[in-house]
Amino acid sequence: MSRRFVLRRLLQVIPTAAGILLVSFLLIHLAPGDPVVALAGDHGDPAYYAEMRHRFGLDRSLPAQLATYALRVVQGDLGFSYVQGRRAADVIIERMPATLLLTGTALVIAVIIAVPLGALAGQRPHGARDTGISALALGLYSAPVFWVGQVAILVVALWLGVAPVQGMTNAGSDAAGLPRAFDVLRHLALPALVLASQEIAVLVRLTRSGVIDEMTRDHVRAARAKGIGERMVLLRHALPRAVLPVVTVIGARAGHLSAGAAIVEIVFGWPGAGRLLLSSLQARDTPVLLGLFLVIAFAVILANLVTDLAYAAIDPRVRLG
Amino acid sequence: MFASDERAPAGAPARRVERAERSSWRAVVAIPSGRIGIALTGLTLAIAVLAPLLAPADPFALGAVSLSPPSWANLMGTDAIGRDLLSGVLYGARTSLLMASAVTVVAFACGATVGMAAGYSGGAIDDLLMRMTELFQVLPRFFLVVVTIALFGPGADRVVLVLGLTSWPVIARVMRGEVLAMRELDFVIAARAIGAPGSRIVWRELLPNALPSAAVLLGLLFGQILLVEASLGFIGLGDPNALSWGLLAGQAQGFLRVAWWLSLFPGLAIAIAVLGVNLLADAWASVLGGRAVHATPAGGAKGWEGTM
Repeated sequence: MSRRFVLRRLLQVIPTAAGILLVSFLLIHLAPGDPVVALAGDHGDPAYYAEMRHRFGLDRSLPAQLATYALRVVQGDLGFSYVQGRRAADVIIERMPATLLLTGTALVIAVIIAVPLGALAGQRPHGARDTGISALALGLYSAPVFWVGQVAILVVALWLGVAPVQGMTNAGSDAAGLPRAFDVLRHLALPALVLASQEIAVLVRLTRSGVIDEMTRDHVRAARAKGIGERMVLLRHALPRAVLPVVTVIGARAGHLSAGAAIVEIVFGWPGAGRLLLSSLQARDTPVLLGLFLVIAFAVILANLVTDLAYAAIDPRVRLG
Repeated sequence: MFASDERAPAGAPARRVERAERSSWRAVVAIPSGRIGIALTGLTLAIAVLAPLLAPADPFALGAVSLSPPSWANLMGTDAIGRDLLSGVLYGARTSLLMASAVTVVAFACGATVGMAAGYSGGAIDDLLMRMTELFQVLPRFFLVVVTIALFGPGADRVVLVLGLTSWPVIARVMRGEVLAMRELDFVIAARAIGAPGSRIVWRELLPNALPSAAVLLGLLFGQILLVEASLGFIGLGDPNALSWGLLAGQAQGFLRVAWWLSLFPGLAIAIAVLGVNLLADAWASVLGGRAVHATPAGGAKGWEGTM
């Protein structure tokens, strides 16, 4: 990968990140009421508000406020959760492992299921197999994720009884080490599968159209002409190039994935950032909500950056073009 | 030659597109999935319009039996305070479709303006507008709506505004691509040659001809917004004064163990509505893909491949 490409792509992050900071700054100042409430929460006393006002520069001119605010956020200061009596950043960070475990597992499941399904569908477009797989993908694409979760709980957990209904561990369990890992894994399976269903829908369609596209190309025709079997043609020659765009789509859907994760966490009582979002919403804990918005927005930028660089690393046309 | 009949180059492409659109509709009906899409979308629209006639009860009226499973009296059962769920689902269609329509209109207005301005101007303006588009594309709209409601209080207007203002980038990209592809076609050059101002060329020549391919995205966007709006209702951020599918599903969450019907039906309604518009958009896309030459005036088919 050329150093210039990496540098150019890294520099693109700056205006986008600045834009996100500007959006959140404008929200704080356009909102009715005192902007300090958005950063310090609803229930503080005057002395506390005065201190927060000073800390975020709210007693100075608007451009100076923006500069102070940006500097604070970049240093990881997202305000103070008055509800929890702690820094908002700490409240958010401690929820991240659970959310990352859920989304990471869902992504892995999605790729493992979607790529073979998409390849099977694309191998013979408009055949019976393709119609079935494409219908499944479109159905998953159209179903609201909370409903998929609710139905999964009704059928798999309550009716069949093969998965726990909610939570991350058994209630009251104080297991540690390996037993705890198994407990978490048992609770993780269903929500991860539900979250994956949304990505499966998109990735199946993408892989399918990629394979259809590749199957008509010269290098595949050459492989066929050499007498290579259809299965090897698909696995060796068509699929590897067809799945390249999957990498970028994962980055492009990071925002969608995190919103889906929040909903799935609420449906399954998974103790991550989504549950925090709901409880902060109910408690009107605005510093935490603003912080969550910023953290997710920066995570989306980061995901886009990583997948763009990864795509460039595997596809020479991008890094040289 | 142009001066003698100023209407001709301006009017002809629009009429041709109209005719192409009519035959494209027939082509959508010819596709099986297109027929299902039309049927499901029609069903959803009919339910929304006719809800007061179809609903067996006032959706807010408290009934005699609470948490009654589906029966002949209450086809979808009743909720914790005895309200008829079927009536709720029928009325919920109104809120959900209205919200999604409003968002789609806002998103289209922004996306078409930015996209066409970028594509027609080119150069530095194009660069600047596309950078702006990239910024809006990475904004996590679900979390932005949550923060907005937390700061500004609940209300349908701000939900529509925030969702609309964060959903236009895809439309802007397609409109830009269409305009770039059409910019040097005969009918645009002709309009420019007779001295038509840029605004007229953009709105009267380019917009009508870019609409067919934008329609695919508008359909898909409409479905996505239905889902986002439902998710917001699910976590209690919808319009507090209106029944919506998301709100019903959110209320059902607390009764998962005791009342399966409360979560089954509202979500099913959403899935059917979204599936309908998605099938329709897909069928429309495949019609355009195969018949690009018919839909593009002056026979210039280039540019379609890139945008689909």
